[in-house]
Amino acid sequence: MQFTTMNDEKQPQVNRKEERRSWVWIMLMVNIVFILLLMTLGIIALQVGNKLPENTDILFIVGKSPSVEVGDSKKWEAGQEVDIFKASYVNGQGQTTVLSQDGTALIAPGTKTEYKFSMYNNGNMAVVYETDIDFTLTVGDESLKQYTFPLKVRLYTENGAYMIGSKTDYVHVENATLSAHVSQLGANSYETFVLELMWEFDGGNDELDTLYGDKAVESGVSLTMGINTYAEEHVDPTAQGGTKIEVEGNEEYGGTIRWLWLILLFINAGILIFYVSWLLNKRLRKW
Amino acid sequence: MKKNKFLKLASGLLVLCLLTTCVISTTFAKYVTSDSANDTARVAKWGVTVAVKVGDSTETDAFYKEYDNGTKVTVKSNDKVVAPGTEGTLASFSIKGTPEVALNLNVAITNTAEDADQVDVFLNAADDKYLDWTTGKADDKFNLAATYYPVEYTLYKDNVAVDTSGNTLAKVVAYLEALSRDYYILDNTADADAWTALLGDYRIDWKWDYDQAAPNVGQNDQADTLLGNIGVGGDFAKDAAGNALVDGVDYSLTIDFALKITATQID
Repeated sequence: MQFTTMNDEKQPQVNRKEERRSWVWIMLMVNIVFILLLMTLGIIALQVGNKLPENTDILFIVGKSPSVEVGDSKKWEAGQEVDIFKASYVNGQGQTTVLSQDGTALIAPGTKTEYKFSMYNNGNMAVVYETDIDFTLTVGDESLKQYTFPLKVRLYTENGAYMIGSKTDYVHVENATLSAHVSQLGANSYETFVLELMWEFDGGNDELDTLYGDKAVESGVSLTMGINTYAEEHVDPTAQGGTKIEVEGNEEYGGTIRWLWLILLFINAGILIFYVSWLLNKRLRKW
Repeated sequence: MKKNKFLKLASGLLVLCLLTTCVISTTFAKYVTSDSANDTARVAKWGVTVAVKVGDSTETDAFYKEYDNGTKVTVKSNDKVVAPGTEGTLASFSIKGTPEVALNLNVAITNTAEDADQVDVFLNAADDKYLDWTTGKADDKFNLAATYYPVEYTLYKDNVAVDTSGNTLAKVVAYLEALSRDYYILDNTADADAWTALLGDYRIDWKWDYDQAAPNVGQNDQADTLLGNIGVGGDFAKDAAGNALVDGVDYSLTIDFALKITATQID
């Protein structure tokens, strides 16, 4: 026979109620934390990923394979010097009409030069790109910010789209701005640009031409031209633009992977919510 | 057991989810790239200078109203004149510069109105036409076998006399105008040498000899005197038949000269 008292029987009931309430709150908190954690991870991945600097060393890349190269016969390296201008020019009769005394590139009335470069999107998704050119005139040691110079320019794609000038017109270099030009290039596509620079022989301002020619003797006059291209992935990886490059193999892009991740996120969240709820229910029934 | 398996599965899925977050973040990393290229060209040198002036570096006139022999005034007029024993510099000019472009040089010599050729003092060749004012006899005449140009011109380059195949103004003009042409100095050695050879300082001097050297002393006195008298007018300007001598045909008492030199790039 076991001796018991009334107090001993009531105390375990009170403790179990307290414990039950604590468990409920703990499980609920854990449930919410897991869900929030998963959602936060997803949002962080979306937001941080978009703000990651270029060439960030992340584990390994699956699905997305971007690759844009720009160059003429060779790929440009950043800030590369290319051969746009020439050191000599001949006329239609094959006579040399302009010749550099020291081998450096020259411009003069009557000279015209053409330079082609291409942007290749060898990646598996479309990109948007921007092209701009800039000119710096230097007289002696001084770079001029405002000037009138007889050289004119036009820029167009081989497909016939003019970015500067037109089929019949050139633009003076001091007025040639291109900052707003944005276009798109599809996956595995390329675009070729033609840059033409011309100093009209009879441009109607012999005085200005002669002034620069004499200044060239006196202190030297030079013109530096820069071509800058920027490309970033298009919001629609399947966007089209440019001329297709023939490639073998299937195309795939990162959009599929993103959807898989999102599906995985929701499945995982659902499973955890289900499991935690099931555990909570079981625990409550026990008590 | 079932519960442990389920827990393990859920945990595994959670870990997988966390791992794929890192991996997939690369797919969310926006691809950005940029490239640039540049080139520099300098303006081709021109620097060709052609400077032309009347007279020489010290004088500003080709002709004067007064001349002296160092001590006394020998010629004086209200107008700029030439006369036997006078001399001066018609014009001086320089051509300088070695450009990096092909060019054309144009030497144009005309009258000052630029509407006709230059004019020089002359007395046209003629027989039995001109009165001889040196003898004092009214009907004496003299013959002129060849057109007489009393003023002699000498072209100097860098202070060295240039052979212009004659010392008339026409000969000097012909020599200078022959320099007018295209010079493809960049890849044509002959043109480059010719251009280099013509660079320098030039001067055209004129002189009306007072007299010829022996044994031709006095040889031109009749023509010089006739030219001097024609300027007076009246009967002095008539031939032996009493007809007026024609300006520009029989004679000219004027030197009218304009020099224009232009260097232009050619295409």
